[in-house]
Amino acid sequence: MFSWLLHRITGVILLFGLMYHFILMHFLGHDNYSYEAVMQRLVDPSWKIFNIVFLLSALFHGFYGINGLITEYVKGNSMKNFLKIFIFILPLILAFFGIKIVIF
Amino acid sequence: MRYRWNIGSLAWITHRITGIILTFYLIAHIFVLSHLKDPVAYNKIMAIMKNPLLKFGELILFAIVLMHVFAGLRITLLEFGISTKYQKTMAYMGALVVGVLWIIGTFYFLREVL
Amino acid sequence: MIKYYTFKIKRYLPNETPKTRWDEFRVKLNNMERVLDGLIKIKETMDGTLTFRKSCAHGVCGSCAMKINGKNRLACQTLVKDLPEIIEIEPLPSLPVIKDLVVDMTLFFQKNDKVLPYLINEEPPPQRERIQSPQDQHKILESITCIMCGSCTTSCPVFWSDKEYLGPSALLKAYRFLFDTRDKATEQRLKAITGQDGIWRCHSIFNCVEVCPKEIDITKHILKLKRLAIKKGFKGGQE
Repeated sequence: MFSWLLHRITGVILLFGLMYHFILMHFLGHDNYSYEAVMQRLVDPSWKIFNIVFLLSALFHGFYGINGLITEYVKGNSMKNFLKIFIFILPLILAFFGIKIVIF
Repeated sequence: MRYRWNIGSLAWITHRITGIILTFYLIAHIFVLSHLKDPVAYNKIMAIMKNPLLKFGELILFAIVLMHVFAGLRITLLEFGISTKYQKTMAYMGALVVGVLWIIGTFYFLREVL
Repeated sequence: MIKYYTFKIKRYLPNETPKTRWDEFRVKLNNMERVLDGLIKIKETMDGTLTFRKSCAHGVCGSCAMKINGKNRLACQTLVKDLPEIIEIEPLPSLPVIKDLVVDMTLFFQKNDKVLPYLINEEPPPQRERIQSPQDQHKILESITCIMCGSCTTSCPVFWSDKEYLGPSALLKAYRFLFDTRDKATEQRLKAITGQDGIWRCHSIFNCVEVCPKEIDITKHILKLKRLAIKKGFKGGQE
């Protein structure tokens, strides 16, 4: 139940995050995504927090959706369980990689 | 005869398919970005991204994101209290806004390339 | 105005062949007649083996729900003049077919049983009936009009792929008792519908609302159930 609510909340977070992401990275020109600009932003702790919240929201939102798809479309309980465990672990690995690059 | 589509089920199937694409894109996105710590690798990827074919791909991705966002927004608004009387209006309005935003976005994308 | 209509009917006769086939019948009908009248004419004058369910023929019993031109509706409530000249009729989607247009509704009624479709109130009954004010009745009036024809549940794309899903009809029934002021089993009822196969599987597709012969806004009721579940969840009533 609360994961359902969290799905909605992360959806709203992503809406604003993506707005920012698209305007900054794609509409405002080349300077914003040169290596130097990205690294300079990454030093700032508020950017670090933004990136981590954005990353975790996207992962939760995406994989909660996939979880629903597995519930609805996969037949057979063992296959269902296997896939559910898989999509529980996969976002954790991705979160590890993502947070590593943001913090260090 | 195939079951008849209506605006609600079309919005749902769009939301679903774009959602799957975006999740796979997200996996690839995180994986690629997490391997770009040094400037050489980073600039190499950025040079590849300048390819017009990939720019076109970015535009398609932008459209997919917009569709998913507005389909999701409609559902969330309904869930948090907007009357279901407006569900069809919201779907049509959403499609319109997606189209307009995509055209505006395309303009900025192309300005960046040219 | 009398006109000829072509009825294309999906036939399944398990005693003859396990394959389905399409049969065509040309029927003369006037513009006051309904699809059900056409079916009765075919059965009486052309092919006696055609099988379909009907009972009241006035949109009250819900027996004659079938897929007519790609949409679930009651044959007794669909005027032929509103349809094109070729009328395609199939049994309700996603339920096992027994014969021709007759489907096995067992699964549908099992879902209904899961939401405890009866009044639960442990308090000792008063001298006469349990009183309900007109205002309280108004809250559940729309959901009471359900005739359980099965059109909504079999029109739901989630139910097509996930047979564990309770479906719009059962959830509407849950609403009918959850918002009934005389019913006291809120916790128990919420528990029955907030599992993995309950309200969270509804994605507001509105197929059920499109087909409901009683014009019930089923999605609106399911959305209210979701809000109730979240509210109770925060108060600690639900896991």
